[in-house]
Amino acid sequence: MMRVGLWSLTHLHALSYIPVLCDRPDVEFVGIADEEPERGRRIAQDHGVPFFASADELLAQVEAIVITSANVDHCSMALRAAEVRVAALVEKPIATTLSDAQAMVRAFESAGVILATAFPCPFSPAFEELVRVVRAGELGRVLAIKATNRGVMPGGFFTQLERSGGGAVMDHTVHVADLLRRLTGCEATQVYAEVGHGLYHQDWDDSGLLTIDLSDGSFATLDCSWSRPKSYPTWGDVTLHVVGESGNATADLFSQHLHLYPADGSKSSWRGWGSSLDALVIKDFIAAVRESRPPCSSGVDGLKALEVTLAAYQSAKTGQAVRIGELA
Amino acid sequence: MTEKVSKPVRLAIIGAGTIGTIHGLCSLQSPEAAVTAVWSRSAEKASQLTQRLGARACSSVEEAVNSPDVDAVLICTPTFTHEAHALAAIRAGKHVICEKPLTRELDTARAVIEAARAAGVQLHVAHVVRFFPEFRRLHDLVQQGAIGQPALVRMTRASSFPHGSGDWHNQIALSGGVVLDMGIHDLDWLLWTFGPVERVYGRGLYQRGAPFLDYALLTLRLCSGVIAHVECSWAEPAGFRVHGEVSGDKGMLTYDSLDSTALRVDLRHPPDIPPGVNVPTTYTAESPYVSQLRHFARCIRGEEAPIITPDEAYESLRLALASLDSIVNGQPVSL
Repeated sequence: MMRVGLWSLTHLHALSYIPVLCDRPDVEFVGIADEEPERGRRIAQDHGVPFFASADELLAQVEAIVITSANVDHCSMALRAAEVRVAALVEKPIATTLSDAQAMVRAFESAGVILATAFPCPFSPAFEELVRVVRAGELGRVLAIKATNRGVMPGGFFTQLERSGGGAVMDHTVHVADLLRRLTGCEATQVYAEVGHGLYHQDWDDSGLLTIDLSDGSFATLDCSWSRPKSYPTWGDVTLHVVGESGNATADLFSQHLHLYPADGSKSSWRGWGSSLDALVIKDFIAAVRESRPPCSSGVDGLKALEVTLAAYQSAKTGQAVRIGELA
Repeated sequence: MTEKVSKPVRLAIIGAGTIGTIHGLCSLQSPEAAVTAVWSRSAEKASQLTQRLGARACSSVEEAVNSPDVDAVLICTPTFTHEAHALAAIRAGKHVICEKPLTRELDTARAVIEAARAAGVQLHVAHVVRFFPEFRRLHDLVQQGAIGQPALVRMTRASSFPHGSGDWHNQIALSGGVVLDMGIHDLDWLLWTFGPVERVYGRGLYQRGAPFLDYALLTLRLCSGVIAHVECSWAEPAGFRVHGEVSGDKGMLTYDSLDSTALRVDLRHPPDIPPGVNVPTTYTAESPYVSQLRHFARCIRGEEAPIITPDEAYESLRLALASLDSIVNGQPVSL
């Protein structure tokens, strides 16, 4: 039994990790700490889990911690975990600045404990098969990839720049940036982006169109916009359309759903029946800590994906393509 | 006078390939137009089409455009020949209906536009997507404010690689590849619906030496602040797919041909269809190609104002060429 805690209920993914931590037979869910004690107590009680008023007390009792705070708080929280040699699974994006992400990677390296980034998409069975198809050469050389990670505008801390570090581009770039690396085995070399505010007219960006050059000369675009309206039947999507020399493949990672049409005239919705990827994230993290092996997505993986995000923002500011490694 | 305007516009079709044949057959459903003459580099194709249309085959472009029973010339040949054929028609004092893109380069497009203006003949460019009901409706709903102020647009136009006469599409420098030949439809629709473009950035296989394969992804910023993504694909193994999506501050409109298939026929033993040029199929009471031809004919008869002006066709070409420029040079291109 591994002693595991969860720190912060700010990110909505906390609510999908909690039941997984409760149910895993190899996990002793020690407790929850939250910067908002009232919320923390309520949700801990709902799940029959102890609440810790002090995060340090929780850290002192666990081997591993899941950090689901606002983006800008990831770094300080993770560094505290590293100080007391507690392995951490950090919600994406790993951080909001390169220096924060680098500090996190360094701290966990020198502490000798695992830092993992919570990327669920690599566990998608459809994506795993896509990787197999591409790596087996069934499509021939990969020439281009058209990707989307669109969603409903999430609100909450996501739209408070001082807590999120950015809007849609910050929220939705890293998933596909990470998938592109896994799929092609290539690094992003250059990013161009048009970033928009036209859906909500706020100081946070609500739309983004990225063009990503990859190290093998292929290219990809990513639509990371919060362009799904409230009436949309589901939260959003992650799709990859791969164009190869001898064929194409399209993965739609969250397409497995039933249509629900209520009789009362309220909006119809999709009810997903695909595998729970969040459960697989937790499973992999626990196994990595137990076996002292690298997690599916390391801190470095989180950092590499963040580089694409930051390059996109810089490109939008300058109107020019930005080379990775030349980030201001 | 009234008797004169009610007569059908008499057309000479130049080029009897896929699109020339489509226009020819559409003329049979267009009371405002009648094909009297056909020229094709292939005498066989010309004769096949004339038999279906009750027209006569001409042995040269000059003969076709100078025929006294021809009011307008419909140019359906490969892109790089448009300029010469258009100028020949204009010299003969005939109106011109030209397949898109107007020409291969900007200066030749300007020359054709100026020549038509100087000769006092009409010039129409067949940006047929404006006549496709789904894109017409999308345009109208956006204009009517159905989704509020538009902010983000995604367009896809995807087919297998076209096999036109002599496989001219595969001579990428001559055809301009998928961006100039097919993406221009969506670029024209964007300009028509959202106004001028500030800059374009593109990645594509153009001039990367992939035979019988072309694919491009374009990102545009419009002067209105709208940002747009355009996928241009000649990389589909089969079929033809279009997708459009416009998000605004009051909602989203989407269209996907895959979701709007009014009829699908699946044969257990499909006949061998020789490779050709794919065009989308729309089951509507009047084909978009018929609507387009009737509109051009009515314009020529002075009954309607053109939906597509030569200057708009020029701007669509300019944007497509800027997109190619970005693909080749790797940099954003300001319009």
